[in-house]
Amino acid sequence: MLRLWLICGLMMPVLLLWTMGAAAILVMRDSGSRFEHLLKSDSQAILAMIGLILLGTASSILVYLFFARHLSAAQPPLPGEENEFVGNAAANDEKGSEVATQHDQSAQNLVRSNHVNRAILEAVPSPVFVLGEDGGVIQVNPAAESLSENLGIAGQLPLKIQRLLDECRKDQSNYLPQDPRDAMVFRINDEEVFFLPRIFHFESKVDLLSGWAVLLHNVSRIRWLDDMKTNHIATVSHEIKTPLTCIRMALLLLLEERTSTLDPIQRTLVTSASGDCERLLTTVNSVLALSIAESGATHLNRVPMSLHSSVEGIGSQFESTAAKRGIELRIEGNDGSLPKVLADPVRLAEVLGNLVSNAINHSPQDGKIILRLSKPDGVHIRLSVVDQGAGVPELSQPRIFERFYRAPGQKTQRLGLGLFISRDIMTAHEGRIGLLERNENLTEFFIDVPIA
Amino acid sequence: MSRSLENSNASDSAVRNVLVVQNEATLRMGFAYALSNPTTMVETAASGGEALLMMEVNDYDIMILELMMPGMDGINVIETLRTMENRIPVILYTASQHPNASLRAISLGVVDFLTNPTSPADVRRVVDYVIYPPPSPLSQALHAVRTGNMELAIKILANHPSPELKDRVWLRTLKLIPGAGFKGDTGWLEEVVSSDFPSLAFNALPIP
Repeated sequence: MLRLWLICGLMMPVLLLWTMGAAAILVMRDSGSRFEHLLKSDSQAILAMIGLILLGTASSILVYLFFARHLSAAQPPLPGEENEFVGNAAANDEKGSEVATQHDQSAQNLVRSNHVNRAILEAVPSPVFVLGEDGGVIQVNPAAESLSENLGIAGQLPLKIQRLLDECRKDQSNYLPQDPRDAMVFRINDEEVFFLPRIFHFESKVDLLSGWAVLLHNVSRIRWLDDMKTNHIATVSHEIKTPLTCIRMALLLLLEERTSTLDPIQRTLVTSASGDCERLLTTVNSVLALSIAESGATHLNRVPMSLHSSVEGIGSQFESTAAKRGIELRIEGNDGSLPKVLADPVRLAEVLGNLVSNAINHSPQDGKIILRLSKPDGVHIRLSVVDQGAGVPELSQPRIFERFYRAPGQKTQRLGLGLFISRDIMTAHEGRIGLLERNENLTEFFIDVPIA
Repeated sequence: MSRSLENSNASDSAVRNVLVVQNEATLRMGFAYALSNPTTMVETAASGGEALLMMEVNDYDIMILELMMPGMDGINVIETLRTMENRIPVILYTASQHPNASLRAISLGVVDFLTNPTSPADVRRVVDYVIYPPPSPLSQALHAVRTGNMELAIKILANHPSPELKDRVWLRTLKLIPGAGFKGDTGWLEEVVSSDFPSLAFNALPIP
C-alpha cells in the first residue's frame, strides 16, 4: 500500500515537469518570441519535448530509488524478503521450538510425577485422606477406602478423626501425637485396630494449592506389646503384693504387743520396717493402678450415663475428707438438664476422684472447691474441678500429664501417676482432660466427656 | 459380753468360734493371732476343701474366707455351704476388687468384704461388727441380708431417715441383685457394683 502512494507521489513532479516543458516549448515556438530562433523547426521542438520527458522520468526514478532504500529500513518486513528481522525471527523460531520441546517435556514430567505421587499414595499401607481447605475429601488412597468401607462410611473420614481435624482447622495447627497411647481404636471385622492419627496442613507455593492430609498410622502391634508389658507388670506386682501384705500384717501384730512387749530397740526396728513396708505397698499399688489403667483404658465398658449422679457421688464421697480441713465442696450447674454421656462409670469415677483429691490436697485451709457441669460444645459435657490453691507452676504445666511426673517441691509420697492415668482414661473415652489458664486465682482442671 | 447373734450355729458357750480359711501361711497365722483371745477360739484351714471338712465336724460362729485360692475358691465354698443350707456368716477377704465375685457373694448372703491391705484391728472390728451388729440402719439391713431376708434389708434402708452415700449404694445394689425383684440383663450391673465397691467394702465403714 505504501509503495503505491510512493509511486503516485513521485509521478506528480514528473507530470509537472512534462507540462511545464511542453508549455515552454509552445511559448518559444510562438512568433515574435525572443527565443523563436532557438527552435526554428518542428523537429527541434519535438526533440526538446522528448528530452524533457526522458529527463523527468530519469529524475523521478532516481528520487524513487533514493527514498525506497531509506524507507525499507524502517518498514515492516515483507514475507520472503531477506532482511535483518527475518534473521531474528528465524533465531526466535528456533528458541521457540526449543521452548516448545521443553514445555512438552515438563508436561510429561508433570504427568509422570503426578503418576508417581499417585502410585506412592496408593502404595502407602496406611490410610491417607487428602482434604481441601474446606475440609471436603479430595482424595483417598485404597487403604483409606477399605477402612472407611469397613466402618460403613465409604470415602468419609471417621467421625472421631473428623473432630480432631475440625479442631486443627480451627486452631490452624497440626496434630502429630507421638505416644501410641493417643491412638484411636476402631472395630474392624470384630478386631480392635489402633490408629495413631497424623493430621497436617500442606501448601504448594507453585499452584497456590493448600489443604489438609490425614494419615492414620496403625499402632496395633505397638499397643499389643505395650499391653503385654503392662500385663507382665500387673502379674509381677500381684506376686509382690501378696507376700508384702503378709509381712505387713506380721509387723503390725508385733507392734500391737498384745502378748509380750518389745524392747525399745526392737520397737524402733519393727516400726521402721513397718514404715518401709507401707512405702513399698504404696509403690506397688501405684504400679498396679497404672497397669490396670493401661490395660483397662483399652477395654472400656462404655454405657450411657448421667454426669449429674457422678458429681453427686463424688461430692458425698469426699465430703468428710474436705470437711476435715474446713474445705467446702460446692456443686454448680447440676440442674439435671444436661444430656447423658457415653462413659465407663468405673473409670470415670477414678478420674473424678483423682481430680477432686488433688484439689483437696492443694486447697488452702477453709478453701472452696467447685464441681461445675457445663456444655462447652455440641458433643461434650464438661466437668470442671476448681480450687483456690496456689495452682500449677508454669514450668510444670506442660508436663503434669506425664507418667511419674511430680511438680518440684511436692511434699507428698505419691508417685505422680494420677493425672497420667486420668489422661489415659480420658483418651480412651475419646474425651479430653486439661488445665485451664489461671483466672482470678482459681485453678481449673476439666474433663470433657462425649455425649451419648 | 452379751450374745446378740440370733441364728448362731455355735453352741451356747460364751466363747465364739472363728474359722480362718487362708492359703497364705503368714496371713493365716496373723489372722488367728489377731483374733485369739480368752473369748475367741480360732481354727484355721489352708484351703476351701479343708474348710468344708472341718465344717462337717465343728460348729463355727463366723468364717473369714479368702476369695482367691487355688482349687476351690471362696465363692465355691460359699455356694457349697448354701446348698447344704448352712447360713454361717462369712467375711470375704479379697486382695483386689472383683466385682463379679462380690455380686455373686451378695446374692448368697455375704455382705462383709475385707479388702487388702488390712490391719489386725480391722480384722477384729469386722468380726465384732458381724457377730454384734450395731443398731445403725445399715448394720441392721446387712444383718437381714446375712440371715437371707433381702426384702427386710431393702425396707430398712429405704426407710432410712438420713441416708449417707454408703446407705444409698447398698440400697441401690441390693435392689439390683437378681432375686430381689430385678430381672433382665445384668451385664451393666457388674459395672455399677464395680464402681461402688469401695463403698461396699467393710474397710470403707466409719470407725465406730
